[in-house]
Amino acid sequence: MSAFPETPKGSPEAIEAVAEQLGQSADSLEQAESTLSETARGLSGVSWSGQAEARFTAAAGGLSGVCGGAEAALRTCASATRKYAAALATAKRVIEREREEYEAGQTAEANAASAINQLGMRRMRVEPERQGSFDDAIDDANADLESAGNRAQAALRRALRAREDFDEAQSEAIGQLEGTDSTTSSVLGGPAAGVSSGGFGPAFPAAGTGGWGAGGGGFGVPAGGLGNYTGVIPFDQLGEVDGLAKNRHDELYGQTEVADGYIAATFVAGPVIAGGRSLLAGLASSAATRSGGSAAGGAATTAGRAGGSTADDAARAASNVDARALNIEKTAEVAGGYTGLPMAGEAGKFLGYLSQPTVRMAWQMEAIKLKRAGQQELVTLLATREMSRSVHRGLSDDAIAALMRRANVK
Amino acid sequence: MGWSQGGIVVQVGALRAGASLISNAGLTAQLGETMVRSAGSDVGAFGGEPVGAAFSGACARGGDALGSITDALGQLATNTAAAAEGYVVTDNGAIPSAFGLNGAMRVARGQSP
Repeated sequence: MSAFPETPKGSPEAIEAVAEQLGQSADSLEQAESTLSETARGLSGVSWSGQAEARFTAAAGGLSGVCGGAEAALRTCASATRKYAAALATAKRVIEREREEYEAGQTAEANAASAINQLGMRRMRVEPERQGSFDDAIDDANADLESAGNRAQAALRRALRAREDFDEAQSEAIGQLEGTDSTTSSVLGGPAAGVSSGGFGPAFPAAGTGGWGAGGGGFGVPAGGLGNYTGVIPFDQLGEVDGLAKNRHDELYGQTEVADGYIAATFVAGPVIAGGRSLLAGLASSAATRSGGSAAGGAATTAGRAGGSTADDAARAASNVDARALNIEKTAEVAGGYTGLPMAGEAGKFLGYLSQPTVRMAWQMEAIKLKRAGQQELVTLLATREMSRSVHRGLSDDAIAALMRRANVK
Repeated sequence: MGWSQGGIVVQVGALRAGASLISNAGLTAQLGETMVRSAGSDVGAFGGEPVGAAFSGACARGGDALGSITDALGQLATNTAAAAEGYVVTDNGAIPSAFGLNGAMRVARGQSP
């Protein structure tokens, strides 16, 4: 005879809750997919044409597809988890109910057996003419015994079936969660969609690292960016620009003689002109927010330190702008030096327009504007730093405001 | 605002908006990643049943996968933002957009600003 099955452990309600979290995550991915898809369509051809645009569209579209694949995988996992929670709830309810029935049957069976035993002993002690009534009672007790046994066995069978159903549901859920369930792999998105078949399998190909354009595998943004040349110059890593650009240039042309002007023009000056100011503005804003925002709070000391540190960073960045402005001036000079020299290829084209007087003038103007902007930012940032140090010293709001007015910081 | 040169066409405003949207998509994906990791940390709900380990493993892999997506979206947003903010990535290389925006490049090529 099989033992009565164990009631499965766990909380169906809590499992439902985590399944709901997966569902919400899937909703997020659906939203991201939609945003990316619309963005790719919106920018395609209209705002940016050429090979780079095609790469951008492919990258955005590819990532949209990947988000769709992830969303499908999340929904599958959420569904499998919900289904498991329902199976768990059913198994718990049925097995516990049948356990009561089984135990009641076993108790009745034992009572009947005890009654039969007692009736048999009493029967032996009475006269023969009275034994017939005992025989009837023993027959009734035997019937009760059989009925109780049947009742317990039926409860046991139902409980075993419920446990089997649950174990099956658990295996199915594990298969779906681990991606080994062949019946659902198509739902989870194939490799082309960026999600390995079967749940969140271990292989998630090349999401933005290498991938597109770098060996042909996966999708996403190539390691070097979207263009033929690198397009990834994070504005907070300006110090790395020069080496990155030079490596790329050497790889493309191997001509060091044109490198200075070309690299400075195409890789260094652009980020500095456009990114330098926004970088400084961002740092200054951050410093002001972090230090001033908590002046009245209990965390003033901590905020003051953070603000001071940020202001120091910003001040260093502002000084860096001056140095880079000088680089731009040199760029213009270098470009002037190449006037009239025959240059081939893309480097020649760039040096060609760099050598134009109007372009050189534009560079110089940019350098002047950048220097002015850098100096102004520096003044502001120094004032911000002073403010943050004031916070650190525990000055009152009024005292800080007076400092700010003196420094003309708004 | 935009500019064009030969086969290159750039509309800076559209790229800036695109970078913002892509960045938002990245943040949305990051939110999804956080939820998946949070769900995966609640294995106690499964009471020690084997499915709990499978669930936790799926969430860990899912979190990593969504992290990759988030990273890729960050790269794409950076690229697009770079294009919008003055580091224009074109078929002919990266061109400071100041030339395109202020007309200097077109003047240099003998075109009207």
